[in-house]
Amino acid sequence: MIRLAWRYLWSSPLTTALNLLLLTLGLAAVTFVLRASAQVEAGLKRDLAGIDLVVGAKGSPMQIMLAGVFHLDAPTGNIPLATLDLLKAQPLVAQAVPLSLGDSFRGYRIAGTTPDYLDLYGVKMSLGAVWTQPMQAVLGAEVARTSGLKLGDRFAGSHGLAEGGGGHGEQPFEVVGVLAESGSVLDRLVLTDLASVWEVHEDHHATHDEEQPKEITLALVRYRSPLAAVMLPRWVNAQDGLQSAAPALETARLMRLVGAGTEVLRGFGIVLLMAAGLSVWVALLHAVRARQGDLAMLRMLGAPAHRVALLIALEALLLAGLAAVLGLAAGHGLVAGLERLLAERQSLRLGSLGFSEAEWLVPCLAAGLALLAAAWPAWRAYRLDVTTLLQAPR
Amino acid sequence: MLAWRDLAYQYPGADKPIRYTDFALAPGKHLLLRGASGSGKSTLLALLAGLLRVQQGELEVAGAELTRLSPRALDAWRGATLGVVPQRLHLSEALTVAENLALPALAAGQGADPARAADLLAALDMAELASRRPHQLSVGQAQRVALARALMRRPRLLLADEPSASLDDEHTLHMLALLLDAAAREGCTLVIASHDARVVEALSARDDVAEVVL
Repeated sequence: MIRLAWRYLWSSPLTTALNLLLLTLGLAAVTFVLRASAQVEAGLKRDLAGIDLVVGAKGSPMQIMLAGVFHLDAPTGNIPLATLDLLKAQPLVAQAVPLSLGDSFRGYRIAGTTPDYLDLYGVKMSLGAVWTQPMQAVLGAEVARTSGLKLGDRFAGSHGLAEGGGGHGEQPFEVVGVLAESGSVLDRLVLTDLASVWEVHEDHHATHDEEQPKEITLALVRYRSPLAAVMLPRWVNAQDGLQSAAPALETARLMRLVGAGTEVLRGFGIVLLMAAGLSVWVALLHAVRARQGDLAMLRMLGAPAHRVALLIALEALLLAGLAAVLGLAAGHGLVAGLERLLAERQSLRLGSLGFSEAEWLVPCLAAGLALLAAAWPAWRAYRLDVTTLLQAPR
Repeated sequence: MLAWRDLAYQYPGADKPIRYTDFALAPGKHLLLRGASGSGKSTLLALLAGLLRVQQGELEVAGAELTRLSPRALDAWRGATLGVVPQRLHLSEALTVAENLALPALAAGQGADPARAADLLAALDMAELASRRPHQLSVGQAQRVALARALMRRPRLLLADEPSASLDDEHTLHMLALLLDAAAREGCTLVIASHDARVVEALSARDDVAEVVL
């Protein structure tokens, strides 16, 4: 029956190809939305790495979160190093990790921090060891791969977070370690000791100011208890020049902002699917009318009415199955394209994902649509007047 | 093999039913159903094929009392017992000749029997046409394919509705010969419904053909 349905399906190749294209486009759009939003969410969650609060200079919490957790935006400014001790002294704080930003290497950010930062993400070394003194650097896996730097190599950072800033050629970093690939934001960072950043910038600003107070850019905080979520941000925001950003809240806000675009794309996919469903319905109705003789002959040959109706439903299901495979493949391809685009722009990395749970919706949606479109044509096939058809004159 | 008693059928909206005189076909005989258009010939064929439900009387076909069969059992019985060569051949254009011959098995929910198809095509001198589509066949070839399809499941009763329609004299006689030969070879009873004088003339002369005039 399946083979027969397949042959009937392709007996009108142009109509079938058009319906297949419509269904595939709709399902690809839905797959893309489902997969991309799931992967973005997975990527965001992975980079949050248990960070409960980001503390930075007064400014936009979203900017602080984007700069401190995802390394996508410029930070709002610097805060005194003493803030870190203040935070660590808070009983509600389990851990506070400093980050000092400001320089970059070939577009990859150089972050001055402590080895605690690696522990936050649970990332291991693939080569070498963590820095033990200033001007030693540990490269993220992607940085090492694209730059080709090896242990013992030296490189100079550029001023600023984007490529093309003024160089710090007189103060090169030495590569002492390379991180194992983790899929997290650490893959595209150059990590070094906090003191390295101070050293580079003290020398840089030495001519202007002899006594620079030590500063960091951000502090990443992990709570000791859930109560901290209520108390600590208030306390931070009440401090002069400090601003807190709760990554969970900011990420949710970001997803809501991105969500508008997602909704439009999902709506577009659903409109495409509805058009495809309508087109399949018309095609099947036409097929039943055009093939009344064939179907009547099947009844005459002993096929029960339900088997003839099943043949029509099978045609629709085969089309839907093919469209689901193509739609899923196209959706995956689009997400892979987006992933490559984001990687080229050194932007947010999507979380790695196998076949996501939500994607099971795609073949189910396709099958549901096919059965809906086939219901009336199949009923007409079921109710076929075999006698009249077989007696019709040539 | 074939008999009816008090058989009548009334179409919805018709003034009166079509009544059929009682009949029983003697063993070993074939049947010619004669009658002008509207005489009830096609209705009787549809009743014999189990496509119309018997409303009144009794109808025994190939050992089965059709009034006692459920619609589902009737479908199964039709597929297993009857071979039909309809007036319109209804060969599927989407399928090759060989695939058209697989339809009876598919209709019954069984696997195809390519060996049987090859034997039948060879017997009808059509072996080389198995991969062709129906539109690539002549009228005569298409009729032979329809005959082969009817014989695929070794029917006990072979029904042919107006087998000479749109055929010239030579092809009419050839088609009748094919039907009679196939019935003899397969050991089935042949029922031909026709109002064509050429068919009537050809079959009336035969001892093994009974006639019912409607």
